[in-house]
Amino acid sequence: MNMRVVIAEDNPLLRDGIALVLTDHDIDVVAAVSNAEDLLVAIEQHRPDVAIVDVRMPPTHTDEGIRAALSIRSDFPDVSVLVFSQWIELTYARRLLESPGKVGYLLKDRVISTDAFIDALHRVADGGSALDPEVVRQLLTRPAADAGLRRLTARERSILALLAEGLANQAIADREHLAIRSVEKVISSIFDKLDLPADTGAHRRVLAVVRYLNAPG
Amino acid sequence: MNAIKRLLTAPFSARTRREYLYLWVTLLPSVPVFALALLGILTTVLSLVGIGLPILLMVLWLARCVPKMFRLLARAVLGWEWNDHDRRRETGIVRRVVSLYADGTAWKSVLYGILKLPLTLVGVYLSTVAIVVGTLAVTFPVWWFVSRDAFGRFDSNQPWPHTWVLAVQGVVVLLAFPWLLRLAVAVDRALVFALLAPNLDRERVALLQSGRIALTTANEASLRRIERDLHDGTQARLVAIGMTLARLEHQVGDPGIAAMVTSAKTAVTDTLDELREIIRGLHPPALDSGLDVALTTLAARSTLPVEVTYALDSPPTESIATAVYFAASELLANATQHSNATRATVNASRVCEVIVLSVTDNGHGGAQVSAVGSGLAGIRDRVQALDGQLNIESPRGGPTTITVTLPNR
Repeated sequence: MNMRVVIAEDNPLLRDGIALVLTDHDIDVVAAVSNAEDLLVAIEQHRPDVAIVDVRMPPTHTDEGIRAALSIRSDFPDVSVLVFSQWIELTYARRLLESPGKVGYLLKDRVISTDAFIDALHRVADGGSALDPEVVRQLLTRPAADAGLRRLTARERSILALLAEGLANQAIADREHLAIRSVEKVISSIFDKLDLPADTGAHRRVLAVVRYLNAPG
Repeated sequence: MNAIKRLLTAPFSARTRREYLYLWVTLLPSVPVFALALLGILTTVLSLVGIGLPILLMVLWLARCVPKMFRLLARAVLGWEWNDHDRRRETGIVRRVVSLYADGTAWKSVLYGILKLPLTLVGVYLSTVAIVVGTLAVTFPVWWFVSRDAFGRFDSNQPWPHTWVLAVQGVVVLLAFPWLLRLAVAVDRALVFALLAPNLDRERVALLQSGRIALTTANEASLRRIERDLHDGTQARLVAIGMTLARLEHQVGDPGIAAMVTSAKTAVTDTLDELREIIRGLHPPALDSGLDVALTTLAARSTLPVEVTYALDSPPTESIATAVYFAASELLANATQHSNATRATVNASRVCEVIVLSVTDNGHGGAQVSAVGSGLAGIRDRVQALDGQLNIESPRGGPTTITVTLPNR
């Protein structure tokens, strides 16, 4: 069965564009709305797999999308949310990451790299997470995470970043041109250095990393 | 010739009549104002020993109406005009009371009240005496036949031709009186413009100040509008073009064409990155969500570990928030590029009505406004345009603390 998606985006150009891209990839766009209020109604009515939500929507054009996303995550636990925006704000990312899994935060530009975008959408729908590389970069420069992060080698750091973006081992191996075995080894070394439990499944592992990075200062 | 003509006609000129009338009509209100001013001085003295403050408050409150009342009369009779004092409305009863005690307008009105009554009394008395005595003297040759001693001012044994001596004296008095009157009114006018009218320089400063605030606000608003237009228009369109290219890329079979589409797509993505930077320089979108959010985002984007403390209970005005944001942005960039710092702190707080931003780094110090490319001169200019100050504490060897203070209004 195809994935079912609701889009909330106030700019008609982008709303239609995204719908077309998704349809090309056999994803059903069951509703496309232009504000947070209509979004919640559509979610209630259609119960989609994923809601794709723009941050800045009427009436105040500030953080409507973030608030809508959070209320979807708390009221409809089955519905995943992919928030996207024309810029990244770490404060928003942090608020979203309070929710354990089933969330994503991407720059709108990423829709252009369609494959990665569709990939992220599937990850989020499957209960994982998708973080924009920019969000991860900002999380990694955070002072509070310093102590653990400083123990990492350059390679471990770059793999940690991909891990935080939500990528699976195979995807990381492809991206870094490494054998999956070596990726697994690097990851277990990262988990040792950060004192994280290494025995969990893929999604939960990503969440552990994100939670580590997102820990309050 | 003209001067002689003016001299001769002065006693009958409209100006003399108006000035004389002016002294009379202002004499009446001068009496209560004088009493009020005396009460003011008395209560000031009493305030020194702790009593009289409430009465003084009332006196000052009434005194603030004095300029308006005298202006009404002066405008009607002599056509004098001056502006109202522009009075800042303070909020809160305590501030209002304090501002009243410190109100220059009220105190100057009290001083005017003290000086106005004696001046007007002297003016009215002398000119009235001059008119009456002068007129009587000039006409003496006529009424000599009725009262030969001119109420004891003339030797009644003198023959009639001698009455002309008195008449000539009368003419002198009548010719002199308009100038006396003019002197009194000129002194009054000087007092009015020194004490009742607002100071021209201060008025100009206030005008310039409000103009500058309006200008910054308008500038801020237009940058915001441009940002909104770029966001809703250009940026969205570019993303849409990118999406179309992405779909095209999937659908074309020819690898040559696919490669061209891919490079077009990359160009669109790069343009979007550049555009995002430009927009951030115009009006950081994060500011729409509040200065705290914007500063946190800023700190997160920095390549240094930055700790942000934000201690403002209510959000500052938009232009202040923007100035604080850009100052913080520039200072963090300095810390990264010029001082080899490994960590920095950003601190925003409010002391009374002043917003204070301080950025500290552990770099090697030596920051100076004059340093090329430091951007400190730019920050100083921006801050000064908002009546704020830039303070640099950066000894050689560090650490550097740069503080920006801005009045919140």
